[in-house]
Amino acid sequence: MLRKFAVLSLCLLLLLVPGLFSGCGSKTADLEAPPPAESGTGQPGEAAPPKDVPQVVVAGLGRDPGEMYGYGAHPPLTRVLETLIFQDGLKGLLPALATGWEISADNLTWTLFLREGVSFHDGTPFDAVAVVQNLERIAAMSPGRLGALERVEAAGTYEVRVTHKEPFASFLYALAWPGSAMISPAAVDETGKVLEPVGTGPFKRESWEPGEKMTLVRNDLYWGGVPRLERIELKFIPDPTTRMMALEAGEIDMIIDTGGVLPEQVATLKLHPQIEVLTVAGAVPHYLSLNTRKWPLDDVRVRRAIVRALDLESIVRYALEDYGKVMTSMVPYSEQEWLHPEVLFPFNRPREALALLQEAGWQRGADGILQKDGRKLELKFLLSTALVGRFPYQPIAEIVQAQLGELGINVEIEIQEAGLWRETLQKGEAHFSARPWSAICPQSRLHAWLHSAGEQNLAMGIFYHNPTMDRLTEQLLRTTNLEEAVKISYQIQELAAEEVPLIPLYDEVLINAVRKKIKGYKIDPKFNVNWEDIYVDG
Amino acid sequence: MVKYLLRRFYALLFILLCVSAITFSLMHLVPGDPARVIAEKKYGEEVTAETVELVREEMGLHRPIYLQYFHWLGGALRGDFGTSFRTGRLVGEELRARLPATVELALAAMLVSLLIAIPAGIISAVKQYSLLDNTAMLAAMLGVSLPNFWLGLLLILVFSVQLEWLPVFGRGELKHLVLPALTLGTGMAAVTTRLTRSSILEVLRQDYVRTARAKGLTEMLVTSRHVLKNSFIPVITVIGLQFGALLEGAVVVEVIFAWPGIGRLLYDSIFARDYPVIQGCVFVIAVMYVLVNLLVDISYAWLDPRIRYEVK
Repeated sequence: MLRKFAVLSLCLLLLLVPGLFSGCGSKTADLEAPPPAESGTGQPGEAAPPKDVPQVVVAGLGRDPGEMYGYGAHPPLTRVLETLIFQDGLKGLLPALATGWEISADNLTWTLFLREGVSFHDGTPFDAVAVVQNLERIAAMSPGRLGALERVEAAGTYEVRVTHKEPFASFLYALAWPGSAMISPAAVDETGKVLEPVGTGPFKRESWEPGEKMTLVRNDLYWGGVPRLERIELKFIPDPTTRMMALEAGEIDMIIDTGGVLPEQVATLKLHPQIEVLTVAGAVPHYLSLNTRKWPLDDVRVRRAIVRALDLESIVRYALEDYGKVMTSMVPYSEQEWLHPEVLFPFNRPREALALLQEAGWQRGADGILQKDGRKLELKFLLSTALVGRFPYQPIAEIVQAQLGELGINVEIEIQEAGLWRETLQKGEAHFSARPWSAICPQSRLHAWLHSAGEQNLAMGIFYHNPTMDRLTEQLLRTTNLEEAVKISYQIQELAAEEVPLIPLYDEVLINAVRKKIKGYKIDPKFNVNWEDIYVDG
Repeated sequence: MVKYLLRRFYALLFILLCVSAITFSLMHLVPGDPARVIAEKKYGEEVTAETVELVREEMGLHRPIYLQYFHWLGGALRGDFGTSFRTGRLVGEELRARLPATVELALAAMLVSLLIAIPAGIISAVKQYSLLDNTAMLAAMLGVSLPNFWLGLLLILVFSVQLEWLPVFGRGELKHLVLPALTLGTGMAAVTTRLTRSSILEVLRQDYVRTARAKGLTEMLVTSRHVLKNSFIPVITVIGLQFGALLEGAVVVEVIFAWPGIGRLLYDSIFARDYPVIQGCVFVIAVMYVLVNLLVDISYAWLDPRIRYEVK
């Protein structure tokens, strides 16, 4: 009897233990901010005079804005942290925490003039000392990112001097890179690890529950004026359908970030009377990389033929439902000043494609596949699971397969786990692959893809090597004069289109959706959210 | 009993050691350079080779695997499971934040499943081939075949978007729990209903049931005292296994409802090669599994007094 009782109590106790856990869970939840439904921002048909409208916005996004850079707050998405120079997706580089800059005659020393009267969220003054510490931290965290630094020094309270070992033309873009955000020296430990995202931005991070949500509150002392919103809740909703339904149900007010709204969801969202769909072109360029060392792509005529065989317009129409733009050069639309004025890639000219292949000695076999010296023209298109999950690469690959198939090129599509994918590419075992490249600086972008030692050239298994290209891309990295640099970049773009180590697939159209009561939001191809201008009306 | 529990405790330690060693080696067998995956996740696509090397050193990935494992084990014995590569937070903290959500969802789903399955199973068995039985079995078949993600999205569409009764996603109040628990629970209920039914049917054919009836006991007493308890041994075993599976297998439901549980943490961490978090998750899940199975074993002794664990 006693034993029975002991067994029973043990069972009860074990059952209670998880119960205790869940009890704790709901308690913490009680202490949190009221759920959106009760805050009165998302109730449809609830017309309140604008003055009484709580200035609270709940935004949903598909990735956790706390994970990037190890900062705990993604600079463009949260605006908690700011950079010295701001890269607007439409207007290019703009002064931010630095109001101006100068370069010495030898192109080695940059002088940055800092904004006065700014302080970090913890009250630490923003000055040259803080900037020097930040630049040193960034250079240690991401070697080479700021160029080969000789010296970083404070030249006055609000003046910083950066000296390079050799001219580094991408320096301003490197400063605008979100990872170059300025963080209060008090929030960084001696190893350079960022403990808290204490920045200078219009909003402060109040809390972060990784994988769940982040709460931002207004910075009343923001140098750019007091923002209108009091509070922002960023909710991490991984499933795109749930995200859309949460917006329809009014539980969230906005869907932001790249990949937030999928092209196939637009039609449904547009039918909703209280939801507005916003789009902007030029968000992320996507490229097809070709292995220039592997037979038969080592013959430039085959690569040129592939360009002419592809009809990218139909790829954009069918795989992206028109939420993409065919590119004319390697440079995306968001980098207007660098973009070559002519259409460099002659897509959709099947007759020329066939002529090129015949010239290279390819003849159609009995099975319709092109052959040369008894070998068939068969190519392996390798994709990564991670990218297939985020972008419509699979339908794109299938269309490419069909289009090249018509010409007599047999394409085999294979999808591999991200790590294995990279390894296979680096071993040179695939013919081509695809990836996005949202690089922030046009100069380093061209170098990374086209220089024989360029990071992407090697990582993507392109193995492109051309001494003229090496010379041009090296020269481009050193040229600080914009006009001259653009001229060199034109030459590079022309050569790249001729030699085809890679093919620009499309430039992504960023799609966001907001409830109509959210005013002042300006969609930006670089995913910057202008939180300081946004307010709730109605 | 105490002796038995002590033995189980030592077994637990041994299991954890094995599980952690296997997980560790499996993680490192996966092709691809973890340092690069982590670096890209952290700093964006355009990482330089230097940054990748820096990350490798920072994360201790440059050391031989067995040293990495012993380093981890040493920390784990002191209660330090390391720091997440992705968030920079302590793994212990991450797990503490996620565990309540997982246990809460698992218990609620269990409750939903039992509330449906046990009565349905009993009625189906006692009233075999009746309309009720056929309906319950049809429903069970549907429950097994409907995929979780489909059911979850359908429930959101009806109860959150159309009727606006329940929230679409997230965790917090009780109402947040309803849809995920229903989605998970119904699938499980289907299996348990069928098992309960067949198990009761089998016991009903036993000699001691005939004897009980011959003694003149009412059908109610026969079922409740003699049939139910005896038929529950396989049911409890399956429920125990299901509960274990719920702890890490609810990934789909956790993703759909943006539920911050361990399943999703593990899933995200595997793709981000966040080794310390993977190790931590597997560790916690293993502990829970062993505990649930212990609970199941103990309940056997209660259900069937012939089962004893003492070493005589």
